[in-house]
Amino acid sequence: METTTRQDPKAESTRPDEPEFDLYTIPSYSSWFRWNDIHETERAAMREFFDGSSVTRSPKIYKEYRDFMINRYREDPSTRLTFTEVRKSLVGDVSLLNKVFQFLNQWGLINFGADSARIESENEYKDEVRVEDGPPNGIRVVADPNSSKPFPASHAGAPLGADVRRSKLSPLASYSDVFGELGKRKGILCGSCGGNCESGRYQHDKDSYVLCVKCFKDGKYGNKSVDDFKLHGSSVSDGKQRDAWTEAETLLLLESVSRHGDDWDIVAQTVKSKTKLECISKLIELPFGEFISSYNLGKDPASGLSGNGDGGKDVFPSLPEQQDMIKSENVMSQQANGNEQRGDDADKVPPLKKQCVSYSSGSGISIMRQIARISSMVGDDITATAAKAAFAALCDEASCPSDSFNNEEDFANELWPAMDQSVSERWLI
Amino acid sequence: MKPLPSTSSKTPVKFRMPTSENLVPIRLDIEVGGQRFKDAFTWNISDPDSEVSVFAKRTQKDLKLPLAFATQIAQSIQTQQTEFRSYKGQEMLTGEKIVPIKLDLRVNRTLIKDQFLWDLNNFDSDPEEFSKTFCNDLGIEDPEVGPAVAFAIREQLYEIAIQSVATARESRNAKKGRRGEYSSISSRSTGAALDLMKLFSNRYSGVRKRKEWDVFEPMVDMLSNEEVAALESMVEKWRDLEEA
Repeated sequence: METTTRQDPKAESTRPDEPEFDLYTIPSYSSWFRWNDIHETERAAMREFFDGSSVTRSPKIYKEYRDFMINRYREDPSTRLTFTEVRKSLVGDVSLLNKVFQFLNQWGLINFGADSARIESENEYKDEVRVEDGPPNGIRVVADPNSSKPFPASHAGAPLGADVRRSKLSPLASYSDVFGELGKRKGILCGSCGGNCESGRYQHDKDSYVLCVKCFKDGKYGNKSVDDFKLHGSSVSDGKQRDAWTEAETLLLLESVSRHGDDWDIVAQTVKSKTKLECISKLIELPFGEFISSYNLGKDPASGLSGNGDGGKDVFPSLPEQQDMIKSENVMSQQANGNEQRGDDADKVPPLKKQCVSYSSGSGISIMRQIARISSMVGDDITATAAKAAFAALCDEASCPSDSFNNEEDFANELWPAMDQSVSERWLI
Repeated sequence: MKPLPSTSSKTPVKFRMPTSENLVPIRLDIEVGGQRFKDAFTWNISDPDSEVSVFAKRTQKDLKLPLAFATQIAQSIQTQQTEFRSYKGQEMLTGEKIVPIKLDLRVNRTLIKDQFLWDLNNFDSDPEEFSKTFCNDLGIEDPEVGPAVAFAIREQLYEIAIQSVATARESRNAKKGRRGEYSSISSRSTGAALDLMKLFSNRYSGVRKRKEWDVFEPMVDMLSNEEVAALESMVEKWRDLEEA
């Protein structure tokens, strides 16, 4: 082996390593490095060695750490040097050693030519982080996967095509900044109409093309053959992808939770198309979700209800009287109770966290029916507002129904005079 | 008070974990009617959203343990939390403290033995970060190892932190009560500095003597299933012996 003369480390970064020479490649931006000196860059990055704050940290010791690590790496430049390999040989706080290690790594003084084909390459990506403006090259940010309209960046000036990099998002734009709107639209989108495929979809056997139920029925197969499509209920077979919750599923969930409380095995069985985990997450997301499940644990003794098997009828006459109950996060009942008492304008939401749900949400009574009963007790417009608010919360997860809801301003007023079964079913549309 | 040189500074600091996140290491080891439940995790007591009883009930349900576990779990967690909180507001001496941390644990099939130094004064330290690097560098695939390593580090740091509270109290009492003791205190502090010098003993170098490299090198071993079973049954028998 030839003498290990260290050539001038100011080698150009583009020149590949030639094994005959002991030439070590470091990036040009590290050309400040000198063996016999400590550069300002190093001093700035690792002040703790240079401020005399501890006898364990001194420029001399820093230099030792640094030189050792670089030499160690250069014993075999093609292999990536890991922190764990060096730290055993160095005396000092491991966090500090790691700091030096990461510094050298980022500046390419070690591991610059090393093989990076390791599975845990997230470490390396981390090491070579450069702050980029906007999404990476080759990715075009659009508002909707099927449109070609570019996503309006916060400064509304993103040109079409791959130049979205100059979209003037701040360097620290978070995922939700860029994709906040999109985040609302969870779930699988139809390849044909671009809408949410909620209640089921037809998946093409050979590729990832998906059609919603409606488009499939309409025969919009694109240039694929109808036989290749298989119906998927919103089942969980798609690995990590979570389908959106339809209202039917949500109602099933609520009913089953109010009936079975915390027994998620049964709840998941009832809501056949969602796993236990999804049921739990969904329930938590709902505004009154936690309340419904905890109510059934019998946590509310003062309400005077056992919540099992009683027809709701017995309970309702006492509704107006039960003022001083503990906890309610149920928007509907809050408003129903409070407004009734105070005769407020139906649109004001009273902060009645202390008012209780005094109707039974126990077995045998679906949420829909309960709403129907409430509305028969209190005024229509009150219930309408209450229902609107609750429904808006539900609609957050499923955008389809909110369209119909918003389009019909008088929806609530027209259809609520008498809450009967048919009306409550209309909600599902 | 005479200002001491920074190398032997003993400026007391309010008690906290010397890590960037002030988490309590919680260890559970509960036995009810023949069933044993062991677990170890970290808890953020300044998080208003985390309720012990909810967690305990959830754990009991998810693992399908008998009901009695829920209360026991909750109790155990609360006891440990209270103990942690009792140190709050007290002072601890950190001074110049680079302490050895030792790892000697088994997680499922992975055996780990390791030793390294940790700076107690570094309140930005992150055991989880260390553990992540550790697992990545050694190619450990079992995802339970990382948290276990971080937990082990935290636990040791916690114990050391508690000890330093006691030390602080002692030295305070000593200072107040008996002036004559002052010399012993200062010698203790310079003693600490000397220890550090010994650490860097290789001509006060940052590089360790080669023969010591093995001691500080992590050892990771994978056990076969039979070995794990044998180990666990041995531990069980040992426990029974101790309790008998």
